[in-house]
Amino acid sequence: MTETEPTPSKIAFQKLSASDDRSQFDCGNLELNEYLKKYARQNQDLSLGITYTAKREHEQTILGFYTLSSGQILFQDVPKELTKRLPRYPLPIARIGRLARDLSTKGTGMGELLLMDAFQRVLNVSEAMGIYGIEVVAKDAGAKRFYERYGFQELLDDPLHLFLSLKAIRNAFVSP
Amino acid sequence: MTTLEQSKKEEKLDLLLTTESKQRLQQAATLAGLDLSAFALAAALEKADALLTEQDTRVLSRKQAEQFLSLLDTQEPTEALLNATKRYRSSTND
Ligand SMILES: CC(C)(COP(=O)(O)OP(=O)(O)OC[C@H]1O[C@@H](n2cnc3c(N)ncnc32)[C@H](O)[C@@H]1OP(=O)(O)O)[C@@H](O)C(=O)NCCC(=O)NCCS
Repeated sequence: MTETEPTPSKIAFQKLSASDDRSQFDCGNLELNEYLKKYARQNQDLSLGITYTAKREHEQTILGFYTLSSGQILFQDVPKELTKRLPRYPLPIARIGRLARDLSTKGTGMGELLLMDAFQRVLNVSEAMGIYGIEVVAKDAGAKRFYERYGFQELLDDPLHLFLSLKAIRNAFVSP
Repeated sequence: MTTLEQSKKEEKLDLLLTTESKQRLQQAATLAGLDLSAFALAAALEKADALLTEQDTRVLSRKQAEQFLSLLDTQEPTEALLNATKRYRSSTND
C-alpha cells in the first residue's frame, strides 16, 4: 500500500483494422486464433459481424478480441396474441461471437474487460435498435461458467446457449 | 426475399462445371422457363438468402420462448457484473 503506485496503463478498444498485426495472437485455442487471423476481417467486410480488439494505450499488441453481430429470435408455435404484445417481432438481439484474450494476459481479468466493452457497445445502440437481450454460445463448460458469473442463463434444452437481459446490464452500468 | 436483380448488372461470375452438371442445370432451367444463367443466379441467391437468414435467426420452441421472455425481464445485475462495470470504467478512458 505505497502512496504512489504507478497507474496501470489503460486499455483501449477499437474496431479491427487492416493494419492490425494479428499474427502473434494466441489465446490457446487454434480455431479462435485462426478466426482472428483469417476470417475476422472478411466477416467484417461482408457485414457479418464486427470485431473489436483490446490493446494497451499507445501499443499495438492485440491482447484480446470479440465479435459483435445482430440477430433475431423467432418463436415456433406461439400464439399471435403473445407475439403481438411484443414491442417488435421477430425480437432483435445482439450476439457476442468469439471472445478471447491472449494467453499473456492470463489472470488479469482481460476476458471480463472484453465482455464489459461488448456490453457497453450494445447498450449504446440498444434503444435505437430495440435490443432487449444478448446471446452468446459458450464454447464449453468453462466458458459457460465465465459467462454465468455476469448473469447469463442457459436456455431450456440448450445448455451452452446463453442469454442475458439488457435491463440487468443497463442497471449495472448506470449504478455509481 | 429472393428477387431477380432488376438493377443494372455490372458483375460477372465465371464458374467451371462438368458437362453433366451443365446439362442438369439446363434441363431444370428449361422446366422453370428461364435461360440458364437467370436460373443459376436465382437458385444461388435463394440458397444464399436461406443461409444468411439462418445464421442470424434463432428459432425457439414454445417453452423456450416463455423462458426467454421472462429472462429478458431480469433487472438485477449479479455482484460480479456490478464489480466488473466499475473495473471497466477505471481501466478504460471511456
Ligand atoms: C473464456 C475467457 C475469455 C475468460 O477470460 P479470462 O481473461 O481468462 O477471464 P478473467 O480473468 O477476465 O476472469 C474473470 C472471472 O471469471 C472467472 N473465470 C474465468 N474463466 C473461467 C472458467 N473457465 N471457469 C470459471 N470461472 C472462470 C475468473 O476466475 C475471474 O473471476 P475472479 O475475478 O473471481 O478471479 C478466456 O479463458 C479465453 O480467452 N479462453 C480461450 C478462448 C475461449 O475459450 N473463449 C470462449 C469463447 S465462447
